[in-house]
Amino acid sequence: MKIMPCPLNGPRNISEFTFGGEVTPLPDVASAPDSEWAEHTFYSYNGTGVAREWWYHVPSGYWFVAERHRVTDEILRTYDPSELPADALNNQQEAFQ
Amino acid sequence: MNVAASVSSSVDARLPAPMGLLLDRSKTVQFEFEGQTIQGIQGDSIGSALLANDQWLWSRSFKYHRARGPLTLSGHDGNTLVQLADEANVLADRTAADNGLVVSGQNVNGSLAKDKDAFLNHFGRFMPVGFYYRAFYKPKGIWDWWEKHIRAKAGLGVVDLKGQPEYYDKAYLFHDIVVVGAGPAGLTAALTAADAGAQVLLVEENPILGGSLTYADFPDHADPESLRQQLIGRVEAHANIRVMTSAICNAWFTDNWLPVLQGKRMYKVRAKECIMATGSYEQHVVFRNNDLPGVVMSSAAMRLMKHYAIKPGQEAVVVTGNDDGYLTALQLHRQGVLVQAVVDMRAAADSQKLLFDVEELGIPVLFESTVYEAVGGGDGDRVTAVDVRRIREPGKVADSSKMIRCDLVCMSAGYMPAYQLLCQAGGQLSYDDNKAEFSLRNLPEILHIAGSVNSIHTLDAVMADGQRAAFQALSALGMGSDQPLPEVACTRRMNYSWPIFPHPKGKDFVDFDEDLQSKDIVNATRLGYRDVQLVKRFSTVGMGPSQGRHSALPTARLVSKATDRTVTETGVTTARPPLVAEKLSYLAGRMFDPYRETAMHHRHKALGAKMIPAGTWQRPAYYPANIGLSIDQNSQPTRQNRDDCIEAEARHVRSRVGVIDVSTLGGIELRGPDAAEFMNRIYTFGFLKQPVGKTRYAVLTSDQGVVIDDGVACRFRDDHFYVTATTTGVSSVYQLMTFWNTRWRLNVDITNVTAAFAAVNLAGPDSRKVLETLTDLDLSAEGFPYLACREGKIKVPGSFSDTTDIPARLMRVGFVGELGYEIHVPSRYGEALWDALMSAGAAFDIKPFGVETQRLLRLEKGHIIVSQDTDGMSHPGELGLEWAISKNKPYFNGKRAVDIVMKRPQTRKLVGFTLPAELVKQGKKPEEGHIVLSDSSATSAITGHITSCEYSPAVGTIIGMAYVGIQQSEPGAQFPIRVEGGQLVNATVVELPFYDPEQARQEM
Amino acid sequence: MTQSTESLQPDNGQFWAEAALSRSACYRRTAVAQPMLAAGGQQLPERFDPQDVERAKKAGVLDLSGLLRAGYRGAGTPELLGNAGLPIPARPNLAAAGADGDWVLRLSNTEYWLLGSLTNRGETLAKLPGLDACDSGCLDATPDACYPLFCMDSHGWLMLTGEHVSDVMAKLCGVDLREEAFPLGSIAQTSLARINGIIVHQEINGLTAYSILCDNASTDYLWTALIDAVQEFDGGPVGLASVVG
Repeated sequence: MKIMPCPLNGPRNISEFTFGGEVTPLPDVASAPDSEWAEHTFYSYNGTGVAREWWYHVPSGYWFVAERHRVTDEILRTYDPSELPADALNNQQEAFQ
Repeated sequence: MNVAASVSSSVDARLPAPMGLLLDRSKTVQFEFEGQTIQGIQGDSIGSALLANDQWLWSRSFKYHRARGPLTLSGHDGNTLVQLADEANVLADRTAADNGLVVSGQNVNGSLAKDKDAFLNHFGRFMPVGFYYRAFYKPKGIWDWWEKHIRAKAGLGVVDLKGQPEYYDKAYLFHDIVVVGAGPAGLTAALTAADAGAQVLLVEENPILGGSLTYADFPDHADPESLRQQLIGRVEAHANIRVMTSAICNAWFTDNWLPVLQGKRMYKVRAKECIMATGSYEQHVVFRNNDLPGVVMSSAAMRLMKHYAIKPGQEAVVVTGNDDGYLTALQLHRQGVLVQAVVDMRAAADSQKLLFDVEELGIPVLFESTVYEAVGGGDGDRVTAVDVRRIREPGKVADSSKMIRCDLVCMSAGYMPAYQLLCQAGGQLSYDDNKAEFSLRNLPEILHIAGSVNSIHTLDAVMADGQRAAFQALSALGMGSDQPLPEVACTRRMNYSWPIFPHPKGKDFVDFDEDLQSKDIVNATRLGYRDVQLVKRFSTVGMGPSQGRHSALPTARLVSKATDRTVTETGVTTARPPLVAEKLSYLAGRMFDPYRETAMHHRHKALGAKMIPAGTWQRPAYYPANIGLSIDQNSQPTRQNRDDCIEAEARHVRSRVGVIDVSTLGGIELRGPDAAEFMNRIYTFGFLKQPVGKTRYAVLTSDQGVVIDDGVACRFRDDHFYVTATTTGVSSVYQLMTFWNTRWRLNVDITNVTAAFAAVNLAGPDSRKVLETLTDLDLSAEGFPYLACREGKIKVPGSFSDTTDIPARLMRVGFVGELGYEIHVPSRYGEALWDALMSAGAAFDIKPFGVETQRLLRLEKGHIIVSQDTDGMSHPGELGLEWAISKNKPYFNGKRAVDIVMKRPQTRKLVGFTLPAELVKQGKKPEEGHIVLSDSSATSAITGHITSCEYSPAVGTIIGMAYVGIQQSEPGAQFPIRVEGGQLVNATVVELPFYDPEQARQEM
Repeated sequence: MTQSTESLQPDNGQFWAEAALSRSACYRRTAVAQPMLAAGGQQLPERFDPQDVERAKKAGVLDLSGLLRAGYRGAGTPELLGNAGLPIPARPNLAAAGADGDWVLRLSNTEYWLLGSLTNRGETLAKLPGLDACDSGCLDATPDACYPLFCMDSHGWLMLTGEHVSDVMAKLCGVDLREEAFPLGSIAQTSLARINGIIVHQEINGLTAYSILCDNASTDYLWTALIDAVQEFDGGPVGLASVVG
């Protein structure tokens, strides 16, 4: 069983975690065309390279970010979401105003 | 057989010490084999005891029912499978001989010695490779007839269906370094690592440590036993080493996660670093009748002498492709066996000293020669002679033949690395066709190999390799020194390049388990199966109990030659876990089966509730006692009992007062200045202006625009919401909420309080009267109106405690459509709340009701249950929930998708329908999942299905909800349902709700 | 191998825990023990039989669900802990003992759980503000950004004691909980016996003790799993007296 290094809890069996999808910015809620929204909802990148992913440690209820190599499956780095660069999310804060 | 004679011969005729390493000669054991009494010595395996009693026939082969005896004597071949009284497919050469065992042969028709199916041996030419696939596939269905006859002929052991369960369990272990295999490489690796301070686990499949040191002789070491004693003495005394013997590492999983089977426990071992010193499998020579009892691996003969002090035969021929054959010949001679010849497939021996030693004893050595055929007596008898020929070119022999008498043939064609676990780790096995040497590459950094699995065979080099691997592992752990790793190289050549000698009359076995001869493999390639994976699937090579340990290499060689490729290009088939057959008891043993109980669980049981699962919870479905029935927990109420109970409970709620445990309902607490903003972003409704003290329906949609959960949101303060969620959905709702707030970082605290609250729904016209006796809250219709929520106290008389007030959250909800109160209290008080309500309600004839009754009651009110009345496609428009979607919010979870799917033309809709009550008696009441058709014609299409359906005593008809085609969804429309048995019934669409459309009762 | 749970039923069919309104989720399992009162009005098993002390030294299982515990989350929590004179562990997944034998568990940067003292039966914690998390008025009793949690009701509290604690845990949990890898004061938020739990390495009067906090509704399940697992080490249920004398 693979080991996932959790930034809060340390190395743990991957069975303690659930996968939350890639860290992707949201399209613009108000103006993005339907096709862009559908793309965002249903398609994932299927290439090589390093993926930046959401992971959730179930017993402690903790979300964090893992950078994983898509070919070797090696987990290169995990960190608290507060360390994500600002442009990684596009949370549409302005949409809520 | 004369038992007394057998006793003396089998015990006294053993070789003197130091032969018999495993034996405790002070004790004997006695068991039964095929009806005969077998006497052995403590330490014997079933197999060695049989051999000591001159019983060389152990089993019959799978396809041809050929007589088979020991081959490896190490538990690595399938010839040794025997039947015990309570266990099938037991390895005779690995299982200890115990007093009182009852052992018999397997796969025999009659007895092992007189197998009525032995004639199949002569029909081999009618059963070519792929016989079963090719012979029984036409005409269609013929296999169904043949299968039972073939299975009867090709059976393995018999399962004891009366067997009693045994306690197997699992445990976790954690070590710095795990060393698999305790031969000279493994022992050295373990010691090196432990000396440096690492915590080491040493796993050995045999009952004693030492590996090849326990049975082999070495050209570079005169006394392997004293070396072994020295190594294991240090290992066993070492504080940093835990030793597990008779333990099998049965797989390699990612990040060194190793299942180790020992006794009745499966250990799941996590190793920071792992060293595989798993050794190698000696390979056989392919010649005609190489499966006769008495034809064995050289290492098997060595084990027989050194482990069990049994003289393997009277007259032996050794056929070899390396110098180990000479060492075997010398040991056989030392133990009194007459070695008739060493038949060496090579042109010369590597060690002139060994050749000299052998020849000095008068043993003839025949170079560039092979055994071409073994000759036996009758069916089941041992080998009596071999036909020895000169090798003309690889695989081909001269015509002139030399017959040599013998009752033992020892084969040494070479060694194949025990590569299976390493291939599971992604390792690639390569083979140098010129040097006939293997190598393993591409291993994970945390996995190391040492010893003969690494194609190192000289004893000193093997130990140096163990040390090298340990240094590597230590260095990865940061415990190593700065010294450069020692270079380890092996000078011994162990593999002969082409030990395959096809015979025109066949029976030159490549795979003993599957009775596959060399021509079978070649023919498979001629039929077009050129890939070794396809050859395996077509011919079944390597699929038997020995899993290709001996057949993989000759198969790869034959396929490579037939397809004009190298062995490396051909490769070997994929090795997958488990390494050896794994008993189901290891997997089934001590399963953890979590269950969740509400605080009131035992009250329901005491009331005789019929319980049903809801996720990991158990909930009361209904209470048979409500109609005077007493149903034992183990017996099933009838369908009529159920219907009667539900009807009675439903009538009671509608006419008096009932109480249901709703503690399993999910609960999420949202507190903080941004609580309302957060609610507004998650759920579809608007929550910013929700008044304090009011509830609001909360619908959650997914990114795909599908309704995935619903609940009731209570606002207790400006900065405090308490929202319920479905029993099975709350974990994912909580996960979704925390996910989004990880992104949004709103100032809100989110807590899953599902288990923290016990809750009931007190419902019915008299519910207010019951509750009034227990609280000071103003319960009047004005003071606590429909859809309001309150915080307050429930007054409960305590026996000795000062606490008589239970803190509670109350809400007026309309789920079952009567005046009612949901009461949520901290779970520690849940049972006391239940008792208080039952006792205060007694004056009003309060009765508990179950989940099935609640489902009927809410169906009468047309309320959906998410996941029962919704599926993975249900958007709010299909469910008639447009009213619960805020139109003037910039965002909520799933908003864009909801907009998109609801813009599209709608194809189906969830509607209410009725059917005449008589259909219940006629057995035509629709059930959940029954399909809805477009019309009653023969060409009708499926337009939907039933999601809920019950007989409603309040309405007097059958009522239900169904997805129907959009053209069938208007009230008054009729649609056909295909019910049990294929009959059609015509339902009528009606407006929801079915019951009390004015909502007068719940708003009282 | 599972110890018959029926054997733990009281002879008279009465459960002492029912004398209080506030009850442990697995109180039926300790019915044959002598009870004692804890702060907050709940009862705890005090003693099963004279072998309690021996069992506790090997592998004891103790139901402490009746003993007070509390939790707070938010940036304002250290202020509350400071006011109460309780220690603040240096980083998440560390626990520290207070002067009266209470334990502070730091579960994340801003989340702290408090376990009541076994010796004073939770008296110190009973003085903390906002203990009634069910009442939204509790928010007024605590500092800003300090949200009382529901630990007393959301989680059951079992304790495993004795020399075989890590051997028992090795049968239940895939995290290395041997003393060398999980020293005194360590916390593991993990999965054990297939449910989620918080495991804390403590020491009570020189006795190794692992507190296990699990989903309250699964406490009865975990009790049976622990009792089954300790059989191999001659362990079993014990009362509070075996730990605090």
